[in-house]
Amino acid sequence: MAANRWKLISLSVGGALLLLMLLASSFSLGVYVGEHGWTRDGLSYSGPGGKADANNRPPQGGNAPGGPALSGTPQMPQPPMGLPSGRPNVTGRILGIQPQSIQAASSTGPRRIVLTAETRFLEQDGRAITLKDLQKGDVIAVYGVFIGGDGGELRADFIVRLPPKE
Amino acid sequence: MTRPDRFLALAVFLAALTVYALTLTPSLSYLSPDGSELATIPYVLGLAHSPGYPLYTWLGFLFSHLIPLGDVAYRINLMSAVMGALAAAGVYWILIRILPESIPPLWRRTAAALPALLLAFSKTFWAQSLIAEVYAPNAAGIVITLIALLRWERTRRRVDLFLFALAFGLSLGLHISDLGFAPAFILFILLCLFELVGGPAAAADPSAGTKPAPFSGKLRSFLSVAILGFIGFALGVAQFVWLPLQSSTLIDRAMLRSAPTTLEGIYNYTLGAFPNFKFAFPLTALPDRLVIYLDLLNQQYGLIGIGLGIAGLISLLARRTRYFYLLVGMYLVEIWFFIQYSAFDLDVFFIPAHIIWAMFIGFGVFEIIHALQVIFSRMRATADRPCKIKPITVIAGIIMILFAAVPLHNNWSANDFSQDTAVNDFYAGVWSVLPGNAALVTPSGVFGYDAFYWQLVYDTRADVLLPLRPGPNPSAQALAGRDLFATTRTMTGNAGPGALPAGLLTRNYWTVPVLFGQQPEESFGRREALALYHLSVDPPPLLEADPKPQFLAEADLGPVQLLGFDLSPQRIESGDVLTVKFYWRLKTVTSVRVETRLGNLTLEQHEIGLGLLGRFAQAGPLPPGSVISDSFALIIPSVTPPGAYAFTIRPSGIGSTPGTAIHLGTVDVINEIGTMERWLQIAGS
Repeated sequence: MAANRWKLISLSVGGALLLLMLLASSFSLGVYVGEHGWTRDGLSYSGPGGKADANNRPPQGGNAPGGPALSGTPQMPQPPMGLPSGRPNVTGRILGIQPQSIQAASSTGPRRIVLTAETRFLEQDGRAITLKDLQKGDVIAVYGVFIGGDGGELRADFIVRLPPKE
Repeated sequence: MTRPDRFLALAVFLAALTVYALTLTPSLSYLSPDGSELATIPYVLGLAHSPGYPLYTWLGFLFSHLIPLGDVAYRINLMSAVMGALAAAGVYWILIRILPESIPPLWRRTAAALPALLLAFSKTFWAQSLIAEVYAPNAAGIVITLIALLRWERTRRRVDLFLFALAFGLSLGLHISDLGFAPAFILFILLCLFELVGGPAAAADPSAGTKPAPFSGKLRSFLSVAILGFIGFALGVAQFVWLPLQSSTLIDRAMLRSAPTTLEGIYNYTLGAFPNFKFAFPLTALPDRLVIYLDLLNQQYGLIGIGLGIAGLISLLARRTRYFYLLVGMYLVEIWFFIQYSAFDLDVFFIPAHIIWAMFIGFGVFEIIHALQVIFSRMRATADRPCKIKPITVIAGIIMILFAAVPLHNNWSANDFSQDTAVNDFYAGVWSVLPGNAALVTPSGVFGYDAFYWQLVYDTRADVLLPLRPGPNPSAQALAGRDLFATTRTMTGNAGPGALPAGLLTRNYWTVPVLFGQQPEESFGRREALALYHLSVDPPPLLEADPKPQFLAEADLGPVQLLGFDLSPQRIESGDVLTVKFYWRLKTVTSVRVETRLGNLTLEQHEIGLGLLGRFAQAGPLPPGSVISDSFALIIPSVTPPGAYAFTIRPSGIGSTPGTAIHLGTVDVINEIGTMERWLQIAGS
């Protein structure tokens, strides 16, 4: 009798626990999809402004040898005028924009792009734009210097907005 | 466990180990942020970063000293492979123990083997089994602890309880977050002792059917279990005495701040470590955090695996309630803690949860098999003549296990790290090109171990000073009179744990790249450019007063003209260093980026003038028509197959097709020495 009672209790509690797990997952998924759609745009392991990537990870980033292009100097024929040449340090999709930084999802993980007074914003055709012109979801190429010792944080010299993929 | 089950557990172990061995990282890599440190510390029996990982260190010591294969880093990588395979086999073992016996043995084995292999070949678990890291050994630690607990549940012998508690205490030396499993373990032990919820033990227990023990007897059992468990656990945890004993070996600035020399220090180094990463998110962020976990779970097992796991959870509750509380208790603590953890490499922290989910999948597979069995039984009952069910069963079982080939196939290319030789190739090149008695400035602490490894393990180039190796605050006097060099990562570490002390490099040095390592490839972690810089007070000799290139090129690149180049002998051992010098005639001082290539492989990218042209022009006149030179060395990756390759240079730019390649010559790559042997030769051992 007592054994049956315990069994019933344990099944009820376990069932409630299972239900709670499924509800929490469904609710979370619903909230997320409502906000970001069926994309991975909102998935940042350390979170917006998360501190872990800046303090806990090793310095895996490095300057592209030679650094970004010299500003205000003539350019090669290949890139449009005003654009830095060479491979960007980070290419990714903007997850969030703050006055001092941009969160971007790159193919190698989330990155925090630190903005300074010297950071220049450009369209791919070389036209100058401002931070206000950038929007969440834009794809950007960033030229700059890795800081923070972890490869997750980049001080931007140039941010080039790339055209959306067709 | 029967003999066939032992054989199958061994088969799971060998299958996983074979795959891991084929894809194993050959030596150091940047796949793990702490990998170089975790490859070095065990060999020298030092103290790793928080929380210290004593058991990991000791196991690594055994592997690095007893396994006569490869270099030390390879042996530590191999330890992860063995431990990962052990964990996968352990999952089979556990499932065979806890799956209901209402289906034939062959099907039970299928239901146990499939999730074990799915785990072994899942994305994150597999990747962590290939590098020097704590997560695969910790997976083995968790599985061994569970096996010990289940053994005690079956035998109820005190010695088995003691062994379980000891295993649990020891597992904390592999990852201290395992402590979160304690409530689930205690609940399970209480459920067993007071026989509140049934498990298979009741049926197997010879005393079943006899009169149940009185409550006072159960209480006495509980007290004896508690005391014995505490002693076993305390003995396991006693490994952390290692921390104060070895604290003098710490060289990381952040770790030294919470050095485990006092009780408070030990707490801060272990349970109190990284406080800003724990519970780092507000309640409103939890839905998004949970979705991150669900996404990671989807990456491991796919939607079918998630569905099977949910079915398995229901099955577990209905058929094995006691195990439901054990596994779900462990699982929920893990999820609750780590969805609120703020870390760049969050995926690896969920590995214990993925192990438990594999067991849920096992129960899900069991339910499918059980349902099919019922259907077949009914079909047989209504059939006119008996059907030959045995061969069909065997074939179906094998086909079901072959589902594990899906993640094996899908994850192979992403997890094949066997070609990741970039770090060792780079440092082999660094030790080759550094002049005698030079000083190599590296990141400090945990993040400098890619360089420290060589001197700590092999005493490589003892004449070269690594100023950050003894500690994070060397004096500038230590560098006096030495030729200064630095790795690229040092130059970017202006803040954070790997940063240099403020007073070490105070002069406005010219930072001249002299050696380029393999270019970053996204498939190999978050590595960026590998480069060795020469730091000089005086401007480098960029300007060529009387240019006499060895080979003429006279190729026009718009603002500059490539006059010609010098090239070291064009027959080269893979992994070796090719030196090159380009002569450029400037039409104007401008920014031109070029890349050199060997066949289809980009060896390096740099700005003409090695990125120093602007500063050089400010320091002195650089009129149009001036000739400058870029002189540097290049690593030919040791994974380059032998053969003749075109050596070319071309402009590179964003948003446009790279310019036409200029053919410079043909380089014959040979491989006569062998990669590992070459590394060991350069290491000096």
